[in-house]
Amino acid sequence: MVGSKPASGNSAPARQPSLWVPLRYFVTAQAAFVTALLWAPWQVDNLLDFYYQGNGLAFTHLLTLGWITMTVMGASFQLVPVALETTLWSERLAGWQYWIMLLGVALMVSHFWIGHHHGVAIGAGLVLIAITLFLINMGRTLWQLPRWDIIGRHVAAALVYLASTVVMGNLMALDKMFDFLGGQVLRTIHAHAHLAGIGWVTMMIFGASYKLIPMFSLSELRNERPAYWEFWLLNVGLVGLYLTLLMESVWATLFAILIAAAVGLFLWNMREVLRTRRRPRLDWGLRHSLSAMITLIFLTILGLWLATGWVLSDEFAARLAFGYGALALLGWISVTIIGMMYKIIPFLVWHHRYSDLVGLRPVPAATQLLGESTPRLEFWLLHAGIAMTVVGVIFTCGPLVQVGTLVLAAAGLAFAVAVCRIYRHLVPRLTPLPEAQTAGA
Amino acid sequence: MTNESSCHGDAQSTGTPIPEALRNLPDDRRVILDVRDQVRAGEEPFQRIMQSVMSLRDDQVFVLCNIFEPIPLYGVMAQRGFAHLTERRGPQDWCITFYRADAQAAAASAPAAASRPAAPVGDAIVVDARGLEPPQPMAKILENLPRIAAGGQILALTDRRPMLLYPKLEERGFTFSTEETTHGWFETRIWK
Repeated sequence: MVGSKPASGNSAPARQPSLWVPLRYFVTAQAAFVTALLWAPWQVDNLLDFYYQGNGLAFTHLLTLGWITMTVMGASFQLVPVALETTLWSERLAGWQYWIMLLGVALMVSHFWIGHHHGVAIGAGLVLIAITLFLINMGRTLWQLPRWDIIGRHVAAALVYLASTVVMGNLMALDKMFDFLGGQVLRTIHAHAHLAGIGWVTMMIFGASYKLIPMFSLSELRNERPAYWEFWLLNVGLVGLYLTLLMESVWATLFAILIAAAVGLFLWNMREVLRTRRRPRLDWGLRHSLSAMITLIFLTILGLWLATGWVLSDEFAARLAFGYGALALLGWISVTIIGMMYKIIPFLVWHHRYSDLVGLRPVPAATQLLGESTPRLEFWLLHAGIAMTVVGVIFTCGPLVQVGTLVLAAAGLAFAVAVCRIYRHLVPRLTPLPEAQTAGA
Repeated sequence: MTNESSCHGDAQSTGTPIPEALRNLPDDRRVILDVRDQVRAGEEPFQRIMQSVMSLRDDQVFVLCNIFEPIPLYGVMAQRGFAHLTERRGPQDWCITFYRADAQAAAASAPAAASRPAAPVGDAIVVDARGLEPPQPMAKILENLPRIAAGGQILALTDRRPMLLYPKLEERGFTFSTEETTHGWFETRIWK
């Protein structure tokens, strides 16, 4: 492609949105995550109880909507236009969407907590509006794409599953008041959870990983064919799993195997990318991603086990399902997101604060903004906390869950310190630069 | 830095088929450049490599010792009419011999070379920002802008189209033009 950029640079055809568009999503999401982890030590009794109850749903939606979905939305606004060399369709819409989403999530979480179904339904309706605005914005942005590569396909599919998840969630909220779904709550919740966890979040993570992991590890995805196979296997497996979970069919195992095959292909692709990387040392962002991928192996095995139904008792199956959900939310999704945040936020902050000064004054490198000691502490605390909590939840071990959630709370504080150390670079008074030098000196 | 002891003469010892152009080549026709220590230290060797290449006599071959296979360099060298022989001699030990292919061989190894003008490496400051994690490519290019003298230009090589660089160049009054090369990287010319 020759001369796609005009010879004179009087206008840029694509650009990233302003700092505040993604940043407000990131800060809110991180506040939700830290709140959830600090809240966890007080939820030990609920964590040892059956998973389908109000407090657990409040906690779950604080993580899934407040932390995970808010982060993915902010990252989409930041990365999709740059990665796909286009421009976000509307920054103003992204701004409006933020406030509606924030209010919707706050209403949902608070009303799940107090067990007020009308409030949950109103909150879910606001989340539906916010996500509709998000889908319009991303849809119009993606519409400008000249061709659909493997990343664009994952993003588009993830958006379809997000829409399906939120519509289903609203139906479930309305069902609490009007009881029209036939009372099959657990089937519905399992289908809803997998549609969200695999269709929306995992699909988006896979797509983003094909772009970001080679970029961050200085490598490349040399063979895209397995990635296309992964894409189709994941889609077929998910749609099949969703329907068979709803129908409580034994065929769920078959579709779980297809999803496991897709996961295997994804992990194979990532192994190839990391094996051929030009930077031997993995930084803390990539260590989180790698660790999350290893957790994904255990998670997939656990999911296959649950799909077969070969579990000693219904009670243990419920404990196993609870542990599976906790491992998915924390060990796979949250650890992946933290890893990507450790790369994206320093980039975002550096670009806002320092990019105009490069070549004119000495400025720190983007990699210096995060530091080493705090993410290292957060990494080990988080992993220890997840391991203890998940094992404690599965085997109904109260003391282990108590210690595990306390360690998770400490990990939350470490994460808060790590991101605040990056954000302080937005305040020049807190991070003054050395005296100005002559240009080019 | 040259390192003849580790790079010299090993083409024969590996059993790799040796092109005719490299058979019985006397030592004075090999120009050896070992950039392994430089790369390990995180430094960028591209400028040194191109200086060595530009100083080659017509009858000389260029031997590069590196810690990884420099795949993007093959395209650059092919555009200049060089074929290559690659040997991996161990972990982080690659030895690549670039030699002038005849016209037919050059055309086969670089089919796109004839269809586009060669990059004006000689009259532009080459800033190789490939193999860097964002935002380092942008930072590296911006840091080099003050080096552009009157009438001069920078040729920046990047792995991706430098979308975030464009507004910064506009703000500083530079003009630019980006091309995607047939080898998968991007070349951006920047001038006042």
